[in-house]
Amino acid sequence: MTQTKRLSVVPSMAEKSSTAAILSQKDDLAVTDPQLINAILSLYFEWESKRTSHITFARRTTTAMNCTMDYDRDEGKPTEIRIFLNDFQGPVNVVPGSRVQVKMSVFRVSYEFSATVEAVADNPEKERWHVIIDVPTEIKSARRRRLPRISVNEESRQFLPEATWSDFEQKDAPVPIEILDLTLFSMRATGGSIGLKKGIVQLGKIAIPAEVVRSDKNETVLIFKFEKAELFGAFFDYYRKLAYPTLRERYEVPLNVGVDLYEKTKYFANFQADKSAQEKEEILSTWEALKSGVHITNSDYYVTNGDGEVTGCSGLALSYYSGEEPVWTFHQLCAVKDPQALRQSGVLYTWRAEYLAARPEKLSVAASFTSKSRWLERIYTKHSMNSKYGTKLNAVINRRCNISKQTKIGGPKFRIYEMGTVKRVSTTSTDLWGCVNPKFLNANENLNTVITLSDSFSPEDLLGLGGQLVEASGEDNTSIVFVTPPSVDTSRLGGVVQPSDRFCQIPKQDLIVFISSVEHSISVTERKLCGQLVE
Amino acid sequence: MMMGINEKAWAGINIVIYGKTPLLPMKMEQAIAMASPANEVRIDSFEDYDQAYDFCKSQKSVGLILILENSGEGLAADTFKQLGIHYESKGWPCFGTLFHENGKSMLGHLSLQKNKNLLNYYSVEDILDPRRTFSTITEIWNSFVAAFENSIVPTKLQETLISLTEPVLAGESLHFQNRTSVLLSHDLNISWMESIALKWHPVISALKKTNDKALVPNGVLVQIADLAKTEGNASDIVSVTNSKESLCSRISTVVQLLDQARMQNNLRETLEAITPAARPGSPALLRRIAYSKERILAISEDHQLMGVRA
Repeated sequence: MTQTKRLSVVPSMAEKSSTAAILSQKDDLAVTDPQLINAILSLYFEWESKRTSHITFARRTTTAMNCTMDYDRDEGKPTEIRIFLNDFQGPVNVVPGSRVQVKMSVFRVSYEFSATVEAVADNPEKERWHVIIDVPTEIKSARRRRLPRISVNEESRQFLPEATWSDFEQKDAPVPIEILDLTLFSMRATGGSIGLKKGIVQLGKIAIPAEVVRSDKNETVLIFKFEKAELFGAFFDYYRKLAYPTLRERYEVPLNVGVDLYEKTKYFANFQADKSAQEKEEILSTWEALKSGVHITNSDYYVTNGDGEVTGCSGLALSYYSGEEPVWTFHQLCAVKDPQALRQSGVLYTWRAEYLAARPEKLSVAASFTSKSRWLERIYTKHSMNSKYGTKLNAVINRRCNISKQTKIGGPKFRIYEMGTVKRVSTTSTDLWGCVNPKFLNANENLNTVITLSDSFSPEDLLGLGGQLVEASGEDNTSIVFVTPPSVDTSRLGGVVQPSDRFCQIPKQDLIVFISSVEHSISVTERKLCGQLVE
Repeated sequence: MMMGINEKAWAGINIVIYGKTPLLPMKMEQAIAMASPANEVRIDSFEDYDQAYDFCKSQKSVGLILILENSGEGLAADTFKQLGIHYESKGWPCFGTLFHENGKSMLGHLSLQKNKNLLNYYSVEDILDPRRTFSTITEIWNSFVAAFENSIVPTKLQETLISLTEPVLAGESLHFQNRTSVLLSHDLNISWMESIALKWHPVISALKKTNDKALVPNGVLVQIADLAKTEGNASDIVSVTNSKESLCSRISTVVQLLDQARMQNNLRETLEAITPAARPGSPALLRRIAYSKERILAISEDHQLMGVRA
């Protein structure tokens, strides 16, 4: 296709510095605009339970001290910041005029700034502050964002199997894990540095190759070297018992519980009519067939309430390939409506992002949702505006059509891969994606799709691809969801417009930011539901 | 100072953004949320009319609607009116701001003409462009406050009420108090309603003494002005700034004490006496007074004060 090119004014770099770009900026960029500095600080002050901060007194010690920042709430914006040291009593031995370094984190986004001490309290307990600093004139985003980390204490250690370390020098040395995420862990050093080396961490029944990346007299940090997705998945199933204790893997509970949940939460009815008994049987047999593909091509977890009852579910599937890159889809999310369980529902979003962010292979993520869910719209819009690596959120039209097989000589190349014991067919194009089979990979058949975000494909192109996918899958007819930009007139395709009208593509590197967006949106929604709006 | 982004700026009301252009309402919501994180919980956005309507109906607290021209088949003014009706059923006016996506249009101007509660007409970029978000919110806040004030005290009534205070409230005193309270409340965390209260408290307070019958038909104004009620026996500014009264009330009391000092010709001495107490860690209001010392003196020396009533 050719397009008429027009001359246009090229915006300056300054014009590209959106708030989102600044608030979620690349490492080492600094904010100097007082309004934006105020916005960052306001975010910190606003969300007490979602923040941490540490201060370093340059001349006193290099140790960062846990602190809480606050300001006189009579101010519309802070003109001075009061620092209370959470683990330190008595006056601090610094003088006004000295410089301090502050590191703070809000919703997992980290910032740092330096400031000048304006006052030191003689009686910090009475004043409720140890020092007062001026408002920074520059705030930097600090280092890369990292995966959520879990502190392992005596109580939570019971959920982890015994861990040992073996290398060419020692065998089965106990590993007292203290901090853990999906890619690394740290442990207290018991006999000084063990040096940088490679070895094997035996965690219960699984042996994970690992590498010591830091070791000194205080602690040793090791990173996991997952070579296979199954191994990563097996580790995730240990990890989630600490990080997400309410999650249950699909095959840990009777399969029909899942179908009942979809029915109870109206997951079926939201997309199509309720399922017939035969369709439910087909769904159950699809899940049986997918079982051996868990952690390789698919993964589904339930969330449970305090009584252990299943109250929600969300899943992941290696849905299609874009070129050589696997694209996993967030799908099959449903939850019993209960404002009290909002945070619990949030787990259904965060485990998937964390899981995929830590998987060893290169991948990207696709997600569809309906804009009528303002909560989802908020999560994804917040995320796309905070994106560091190019997350794209698009308005689309989803249209479900029944497509018959179509043979075409010299048609597109397909990639056929196994999901459990069934085969899936995917295109390998990078701008027109299609995938089918098994029919109930998504219980609402939403993952038999043809997707394009370009308006350069005609409805006939899309129909043709759909027919060829059906042919390649060995079926005669398949219900396919066509996802297109609103500018493409898909009415000629017939079929039924589906409720989903958003399509989001998230690069793997952006998934950690996505977790922040989910947590932030949950917190905002909780406050809205708590009615904290009217004083 | 950018008003409208502080935590209490929109206290008591919710804000709805409504328009049919896909993604745009939530982008606007999030742009405002980024500029003013403290106010994110007050803002909701919708693309679906029924959802927006149901929300406004159930909340009955949506007092400000940011509406896109692309808001339905009819005029945006009509849609605005339908959404605002629920808040207005409580007896309060609902105000709005109209947004265009591709330049101002005739239909947009027609909407502004048709519904005077649509106060401004902006481009969506005025919200989405972070260099403009802050100033746009401030402008909306200012016009909201002015429009609300005008709806409860129309200009003619304002003039009448002020003239009735003449026996006990000198023109220069009212002028000094108004300008000083604006100066002091700048950068402080006051709400839209408190800013109206601060302005009208001296007048209402004077009328209560001299002509309280004039206040009978103006109950709403009296109620609002009472937010700024002064501390009866206060005489020491530093103590007032430290008291547990509401910020609005403390500002009002301080302004009254400063006005008394002005009338006794010892304003400069009063201000200089409190300056040493305005150290880091002292109350924000006290630091604000010390910071504004010269400007407060300038207000008192302003020759225009002498001719206020004239």
